[in-house]
Amino acid sequence: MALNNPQGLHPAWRQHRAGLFIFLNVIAMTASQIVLKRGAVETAGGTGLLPWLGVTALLSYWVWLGIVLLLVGFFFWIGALRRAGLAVAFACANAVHVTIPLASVWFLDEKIDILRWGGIALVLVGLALVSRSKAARNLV
Amino acid sequence: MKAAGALFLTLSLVAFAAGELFLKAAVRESRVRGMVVAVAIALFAFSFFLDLGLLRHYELSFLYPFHALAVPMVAAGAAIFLRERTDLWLWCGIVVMTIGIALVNAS
Repeated sequence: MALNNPQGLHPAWRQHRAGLFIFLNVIAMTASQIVLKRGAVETAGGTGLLPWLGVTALLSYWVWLGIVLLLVGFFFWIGALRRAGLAVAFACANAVHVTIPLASVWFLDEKIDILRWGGIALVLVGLALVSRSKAARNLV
Repeated sequence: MKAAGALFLTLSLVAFAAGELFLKAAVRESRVRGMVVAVAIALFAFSFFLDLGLLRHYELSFLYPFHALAVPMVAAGAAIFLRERTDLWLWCGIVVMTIGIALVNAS
């Protein structure tokens, strides 16, 4: 895998770049979920096991675009994992639970009620708490 | 949520969390271990197709927040299997995030 060697970097620079990799991962994952939803709806229908497993959704170009975006996000994620611990990096990457509902409202016209907005706010508070942990302090 | 949907969602979460642990184990040393990455990718792929099927029956803004349940699973796995150090701030944040997700799902 063509990745640079993070062990050769200054620790502060390594952690800074981990934050950047997590941010780029969040952007790519959000975009992928939006286009996957479009593709899944486009190919909805049919009975049996295959439609439930989602295999027939591969007939949609939106789904293939979503897969490409997932792969891009995956490589950003590997970059983050090589520079930060899994527990803190994974917690920070869960900013997608804020960005994806917001993108669903914006791009898919989905509705979010007041209780769900409260949950999204709590996820943000959780992220703020995680950012105070020793492992996360120097990510950005 | 139907029983089949709940079952597929649970399977998807477990496969996803296990995949993250395998992936971190594969890349945490300077030499990437290809076989371990392959196992992680297989687990992610399994989780992905389950998710794709679920997306046909449920709204994205309802379905996706369930994935936050993987946060405590992955953090506990990292602490137990990968022996990562965690502190009180991290766990407090994870607990608040999990409550936030429960609230999202209750709406």
